[in-house]
Amino acid sequence: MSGRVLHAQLHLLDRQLIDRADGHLVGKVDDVELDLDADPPVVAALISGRVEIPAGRIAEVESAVTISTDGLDLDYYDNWIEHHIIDKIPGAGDATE
Amino acid sequence: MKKLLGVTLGILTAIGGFVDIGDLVTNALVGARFGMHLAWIVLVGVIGICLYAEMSGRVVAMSGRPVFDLIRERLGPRTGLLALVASFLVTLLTLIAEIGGVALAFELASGVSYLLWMPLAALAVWLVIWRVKFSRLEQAFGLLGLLLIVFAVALFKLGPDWGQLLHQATQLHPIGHEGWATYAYYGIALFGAAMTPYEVFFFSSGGVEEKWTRRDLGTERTNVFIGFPLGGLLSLSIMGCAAVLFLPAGIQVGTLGQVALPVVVAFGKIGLAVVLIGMFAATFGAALETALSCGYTIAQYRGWQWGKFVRPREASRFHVVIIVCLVLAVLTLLTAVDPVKVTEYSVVFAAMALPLTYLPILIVANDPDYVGRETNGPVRNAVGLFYLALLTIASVAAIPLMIITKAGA
Amino acid sequence: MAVGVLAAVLLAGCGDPDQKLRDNAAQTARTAASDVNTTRLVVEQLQAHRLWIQPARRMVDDAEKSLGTTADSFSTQQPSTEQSARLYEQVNSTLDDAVAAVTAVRIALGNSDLAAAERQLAALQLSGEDLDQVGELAK
Repeated sequence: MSGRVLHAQLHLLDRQLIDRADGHLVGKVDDVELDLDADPPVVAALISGRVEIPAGRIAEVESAVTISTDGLDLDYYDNWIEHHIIDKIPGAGDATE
Repeated sequence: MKKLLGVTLGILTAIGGFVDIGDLVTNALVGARFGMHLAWIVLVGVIGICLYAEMSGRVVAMSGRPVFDLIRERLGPRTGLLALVASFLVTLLTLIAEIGGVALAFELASGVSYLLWMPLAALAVWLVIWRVKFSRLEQAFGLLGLLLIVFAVALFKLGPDWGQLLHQATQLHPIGHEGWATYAYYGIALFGAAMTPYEVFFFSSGGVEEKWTRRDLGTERTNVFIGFPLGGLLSLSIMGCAAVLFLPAGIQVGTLGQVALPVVVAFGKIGLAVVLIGMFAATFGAALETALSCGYTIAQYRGWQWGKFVRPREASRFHVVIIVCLVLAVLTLLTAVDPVKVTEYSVVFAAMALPLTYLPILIVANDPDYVGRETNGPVRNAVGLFYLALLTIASVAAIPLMIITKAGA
Repeated sequence: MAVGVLAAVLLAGCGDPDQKLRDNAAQTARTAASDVNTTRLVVEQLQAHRLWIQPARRMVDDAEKSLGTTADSFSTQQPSTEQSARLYEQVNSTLDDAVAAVTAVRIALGNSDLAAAERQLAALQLSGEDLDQVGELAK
């Protein structure tokens, strides 16, 4: 990642976040945190909802941003709905036919 | 051979999937009141939807990113949110109309009130979304929807004066007791019916569901450029049937039964059976598409996992949105609001939401980050901008015209 | 003939309240004619064995409801001159005839009595023509 020049607003903000491990969609880049002490300033972290994703987790920036999600709780709401609603409906874990 | 079959299937699906409750009702209604004097709007609408569906399909094939993903990215979170709210509400209104349409088709066939059919229809829509594979659902209802070709055949059987129909189509002005305001109002309604926003949400998200790549670009274009115009011809034949049978008789279309009547006059009971199955397939297919689109828009705006290519539990928020929308649809229809009236409003509101949907597509289709070397050429951009201007005019004029004409009364 | 008298009455007066009522009458008549003509088309198709009774009932039910709403809405008008009062009476009576014919068809179909429905065809035709003429009285 280091050294690549990106326009933060154009290339990062509001982009789709993808989990590198399974390709699942895990949120949007709601905000970008810059490290202003560095010269030139560099991206320190991405913010998605309440979760802060350190810049080191960013694997790839294309039309979406691929990250490694280990230990980040990006699926909190999805899991909550999964456990409380969707899993109670028969067939929730089946692939469609 | 297998490829040819795939292409043919795609085209047939596009034709069958083009017509929904909005097209059925609006085209028949307009044909009955204005003859073919508004037919040119269908032509304009079909060219517009081809243009923008191709762009969104190209963006998906090249980047794997569907439309609403881009809407937020390009318009920013605030304007993006406005686009989301507008598009979502219009799509939800369309979903309500489609489920009402399914129930009305059953009511016509059985004589049992649509209010009883409607919860069953919503439940069936949900079950199909929950259990059936994407490609299968798209093809099944698209192909069954092809039965609506019976309108085209009925038009020939009714033996109209073709010269007169053509003459009407070239005279772009209101007739009889109709004024310019109602003419413009129904023009916008037809435009909204042909270019409904959910069509591109569904089309582009469908591209992701079916994992399109650069190699599918050719197939995608064939489907759009052959399938949609043929679907437009279907719309025109519904209008033509009404123009031939209802305009001289002074009959105004206000029910789904009236929409089907020309086919009854042409082919009797068998015709009615065919047209009812076709209407069921078209509205049920569109109910699936709009229900999914409700989920697509919100999930793509928020970045949630969506789609039928994963198990339901992996896209739990997406599925919850769909369930909530279906419940809202049933509750709305239980107030005994007339589904045909809901349809009439939904196409006009669709016209109002159009610019916000189509602007980001035009921008992204020019961005090499997304489409590589497949950016729009100058001609496509010129036509795209022209349509954006048209959409904006229609969008701005819709509400004043609705007030002046008392919603087309 | 009733319509002839009506037309003469209408052509005589051009006052503003009269004009308003006349516009309303014409629009009402055109909406009503649509339902009457739909009913007639449905009965004709039944007569030719081209339509099942179920959907026919549905379509006539819808027509009757819509016609009822139209007629009720016109009867709430306020005629303020003598000419308006005569027009008001005439249109109401034409609408009553239309409602009677369509209701008779609805009842006949409800009882699966096709012959009774077919007997209304002449009344429907006449009613449709009367309404068409009222419909032409104003834009």
